[in-house]
Amino acid sequence: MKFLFRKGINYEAVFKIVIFLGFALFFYVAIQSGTVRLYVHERIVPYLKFAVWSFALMAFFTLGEVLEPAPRKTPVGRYALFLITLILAVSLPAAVAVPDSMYLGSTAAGTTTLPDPETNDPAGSLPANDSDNNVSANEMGNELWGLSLQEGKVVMDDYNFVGWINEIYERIDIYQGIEIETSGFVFRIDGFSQEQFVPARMMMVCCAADAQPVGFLCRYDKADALPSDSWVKVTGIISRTTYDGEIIPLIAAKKVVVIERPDNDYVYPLE
Amino acid sequence: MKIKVDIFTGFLGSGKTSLINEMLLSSLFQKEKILVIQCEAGKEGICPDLLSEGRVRVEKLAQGAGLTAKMVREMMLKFFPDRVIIEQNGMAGLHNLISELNQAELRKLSYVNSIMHTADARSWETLMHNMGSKLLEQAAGSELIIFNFSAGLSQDKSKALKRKIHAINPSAEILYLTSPREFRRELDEGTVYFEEKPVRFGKRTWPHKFCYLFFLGVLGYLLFSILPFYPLLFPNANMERIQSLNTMFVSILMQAFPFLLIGAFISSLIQVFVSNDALTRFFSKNKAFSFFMALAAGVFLPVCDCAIIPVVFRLIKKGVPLGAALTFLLAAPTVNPIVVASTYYAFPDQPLVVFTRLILGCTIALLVGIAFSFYPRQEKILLDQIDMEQCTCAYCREGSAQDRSLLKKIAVIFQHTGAEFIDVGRFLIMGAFLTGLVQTFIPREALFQLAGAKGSSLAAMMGSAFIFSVCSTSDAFIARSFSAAFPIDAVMGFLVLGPMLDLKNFLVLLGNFRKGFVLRLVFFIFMVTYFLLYYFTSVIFAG
Repeated sequence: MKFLFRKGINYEAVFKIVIFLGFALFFYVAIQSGTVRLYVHERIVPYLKFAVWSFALMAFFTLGEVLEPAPRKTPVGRYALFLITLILAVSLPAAVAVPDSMYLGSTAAGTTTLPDPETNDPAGSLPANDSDNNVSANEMGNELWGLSLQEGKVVMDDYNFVGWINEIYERIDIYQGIEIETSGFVFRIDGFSQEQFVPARMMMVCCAADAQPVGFLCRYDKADALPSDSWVKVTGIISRTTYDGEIIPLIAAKKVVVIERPDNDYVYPLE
Repeated sequence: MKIKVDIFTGFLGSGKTSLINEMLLSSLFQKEKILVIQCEAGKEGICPDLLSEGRVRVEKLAQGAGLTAKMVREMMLKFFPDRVIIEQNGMAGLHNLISELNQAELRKLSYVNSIMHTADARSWETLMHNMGSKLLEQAAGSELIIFNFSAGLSQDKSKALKRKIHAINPSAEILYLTSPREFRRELDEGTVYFEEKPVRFGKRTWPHKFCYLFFLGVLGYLLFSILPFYPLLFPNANMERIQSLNTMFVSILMQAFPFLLIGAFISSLIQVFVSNDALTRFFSKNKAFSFFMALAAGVFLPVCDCAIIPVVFRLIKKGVPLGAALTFLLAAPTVNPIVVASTYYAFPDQPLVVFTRLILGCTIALLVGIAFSFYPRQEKILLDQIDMEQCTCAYCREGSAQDRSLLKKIAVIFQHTGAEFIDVGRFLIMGAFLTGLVQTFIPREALFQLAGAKGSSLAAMMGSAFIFSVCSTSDAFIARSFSAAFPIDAVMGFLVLGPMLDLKNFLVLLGNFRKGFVLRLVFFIFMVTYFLLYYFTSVIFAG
């Protein structure tokens, strides 16, 4: 076996082009199909677009090297690592295992919510508990975070999920007795009673590697009949309870319906 | 049968001609007609006994002339040898010679069988430093590096030589010879042979390695694409873990690759547009100012921690003092505006956290920078030492980039970025995989059990910052969730150490700097951070 590059093709350049184009294509398809949101937060997407362009240009400028003699023997292992990474990236759909535990204390998820990133004024992006804030102390909802009651009900969806959690955790007093509608997968941790579960969503702060479950604790008579990880829609009344010595919101469930799993498991702060 | 061409490169006096003599005398080549083309007139000549047999012929090139395809072809047609041995001039590179031999007219007649670089083990390093690019090009392009006269070489020294060779030519085989005579013995015994390529027996060769990797790739693909359909054979839970690991791995890379590319771009821009002299002059003018610059530079380079390392590596190569470069390495990810903003968002009720993170981050960066500007072996910290004067990559080969057209420069920048991406990216891949493993198999919640006494909480937080390798632009949110169980001064450990050091950039550092240096650096940063936080945070947060 003679060295291939002597026959006029620089395999190192070929490897590079395959790797660059491979990643460019993978990123591009992920962005176009929207699966990118299963890996990273929306705010990384512009950077990924930049990466697609860079990879494409790098591949283009490497093209000229293909027919030049190689300056050295190709270090195959190095390129194989990238190729295996590419194969791994495209071969399995994105999914993150749900952790076994969750922190339900008052700082569990609430404060990780960011105000509207469009607001450039730092004073305006302070959270609701600030005295100068334009949200009055007893008014429900939070304009800044796009939260408002629908016909007197709190309705949590993909977009305001984290916002509502934050809002209700912080101002639990004024939300007591309000009706709430939320959905998520049935999540339990050790120490829950038979009546307790959390209709949780996975919250992605930056990328799938930091995803964690968030949601309100629920009390429901027939909770033990709900299989873990099945998706449910819960309607109930907001009240409060003590958990691990902290006062946290609790949904007293009136109705629990099994629903289809949504397209996207995740909810995102910072939107 | 095509004519085989073997090329000997190496500096004058490294023993090229002696080795060729030994090769010609070896029993392996007794039946061949061999033409030796000498592009250099050394002390030694080809053994006259050999010439008189008529089996071997020598062509000498006029002083200063370069070997062209046409000349080689004429010589070949005159003598019709089975093999041509070219003794390349030590002052000429290798690239031009290979281009000539790759001309269509010669490719019909012959092919390059092997490229060797002979080096005098005693003087190679010094030569490499003084002779620079041409010798470097020869060593980088050869498949077998023969260290001649290595009799008195200590274990350490030969290891050091090997490391240097592999830094410029990762796939080179290395052969140590005590004398040229040993070369013939190796050839006769078959431990070195020329027919496939000159390698030592027992090593896996190119095609095998490739097949092996290809097989692994296919196997991996099958595993991942077919296994999910057999939940009975493989318990579902395991598959979920694997899938989860894969997702984390890919998501970390998706998040880090764009930043790595930005870093590689900046590094390439510096390489192409900023001359070594200008940088060194700028930094040596005023020491205190250079540290200040290093701190401030982070504000203008809003990139993630993984993007900083290629830039710092380039700066050190270009002659920026180690201390200032390290300060930049540690401070940039912390003073980065995105990091400041996200910390503020995560701790809106505690502006002191943002402030402390900034001040302590900068203090540690400065302390480490100043301490390491007294590091005794400054010149021995980079892996590819020789690179100090020269860029080994193919794109800087022909002269300085300064006198090329803009379009060419743009091409060079992209090519350079590509090479840099491959170079650094592989460590990032390994780091991301390790991080994914850690995150999949060690739940973050397990850490909550470590909360306790101040000292151990702080250590636990610093350890988790290192192990979990969360990107510095988002770690504030993770820190917030820790702050439920840990006291705020321990959480500061997570916030301050996180951007400076973590598992993935530790691997990237190891890929660029010497192991001893990296370990010392990491240890020092850990100690400084621990003591500063232990004694100062309580003061800050008490008031």
